[in-house]
Amino acid sequence: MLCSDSDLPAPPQEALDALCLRGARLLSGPVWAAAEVALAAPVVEAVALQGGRIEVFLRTPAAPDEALCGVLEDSADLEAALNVLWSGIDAILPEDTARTADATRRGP
Amino acid sequence: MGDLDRLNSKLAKLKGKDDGQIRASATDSIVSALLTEIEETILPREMILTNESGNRFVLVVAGRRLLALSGHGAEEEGSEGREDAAARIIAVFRGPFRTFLDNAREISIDAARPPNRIDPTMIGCSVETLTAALVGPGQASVADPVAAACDLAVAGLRLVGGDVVGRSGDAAHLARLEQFAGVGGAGLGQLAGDDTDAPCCVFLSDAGREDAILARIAFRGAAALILAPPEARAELIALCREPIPAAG
Repeated sequence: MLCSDSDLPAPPQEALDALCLRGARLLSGPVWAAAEVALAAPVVEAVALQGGRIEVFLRTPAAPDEALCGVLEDSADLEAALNVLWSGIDAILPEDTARTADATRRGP
Repeated sequence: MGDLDRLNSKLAKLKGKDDGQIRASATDSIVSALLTEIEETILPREMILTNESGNRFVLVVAGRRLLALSGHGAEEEGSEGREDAAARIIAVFRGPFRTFLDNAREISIDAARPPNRIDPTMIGCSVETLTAALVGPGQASVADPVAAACDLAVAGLRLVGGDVVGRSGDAAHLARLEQFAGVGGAGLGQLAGDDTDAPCCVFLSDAGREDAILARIAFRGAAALILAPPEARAELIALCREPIPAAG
C-alpha cells in the first residue's frame, strides 16, 4: 500500500492511512469526477499544501488502480519534484503493469 | 539548544549542501526565521550573518525592532533620498540584503551585545512594518490569500461557510466552476483542510496542465475555488507559504 524512506522516522499507521485515503478521494470518486468535468480533461495529479508540507498524488492512466504519493517539505521545489516523480512512476509500477503502460504508449 | 543554535541549525538546513534534496524559497524561509528572531528580541543584540565567502550583514535589533541593517551595498541603497529610518532599512532589506541571502550557499549567524551603546533616538523599523513592506506593492492582498488567489484566476468563486459570496472571471469558466462547486465543492473542502490558521491549498490538474488547473485556497473560514492558468500555480503556492500577519 504505502512505503516510506527507511532513513526517516516511520509515520504512525493512522497517518499513512489518512494519507492514502486523501489520495484515493482526490484521484477517484465524486470530487475527482467533477474535477474532470470542470477541467474537461483526465485528472491525474493532485497537490495539497497544508500543515507545513506538500502532499503530491499522481496517477497514470496506464495503471488506474495505482497511485504514487510523495510528501515534501513546504520549501521544496514542487515543479522539480513533480518532474522527478512523473519520470519515476513507471519504474515502480509492477512489471506486468509497466509492460501494459509501455504498450499503451507505443500504440497497437 | 539555545535560540541562536536553533536558528543556526535552521539556516544550515535551509542553505546547507543539500545535493540530494530539492529546495527553493530558502530565502523566504530565512527571512521568516529572522523576522521571528527580531520579534522575540527585547535587549539590544547585534546579529551577524556570514556567508561561505566571509561576507557579512549586520542587523542591530532591540525592543522587537530592527534598528539598523548594514553590509555590502547597504550604504548606497539605504541613503538615496530616504530620510525615514524605516524606509532606509526596508530598502536595504529588499535590495542588497535579499541578494546576499539569495546568493549565499551557506549562511551562519552569530549574535552578541552591540559594541556601542544604542542611540535611544534610533527607532528603526518594526517587524510588522517590515513584513508588510516585504510583501510588496501589488501583493498587498497576501494578507488575504483567498482574494489574491481570485486575482490570479481565470475564474473564481469566493466561498464563506460553503456559500458562494463572490464571483469573478469569464462566464464559460464560471459555469464550469459552479457546476463543480455543486457536485464536488464540499468534498474538496473536506479534503483540503480548513481547520488551521494558516492558508492551505489543493490543486487538481491533468497530465500536461495544458489548459487550466482547478484549485481551492482556504484561510480563516473563507475559500477560493478557482480555475487558473497552470503557470499561476507557483504564485498560488507562494500565497500559502507567505507569513500571514496575525489576526486582530
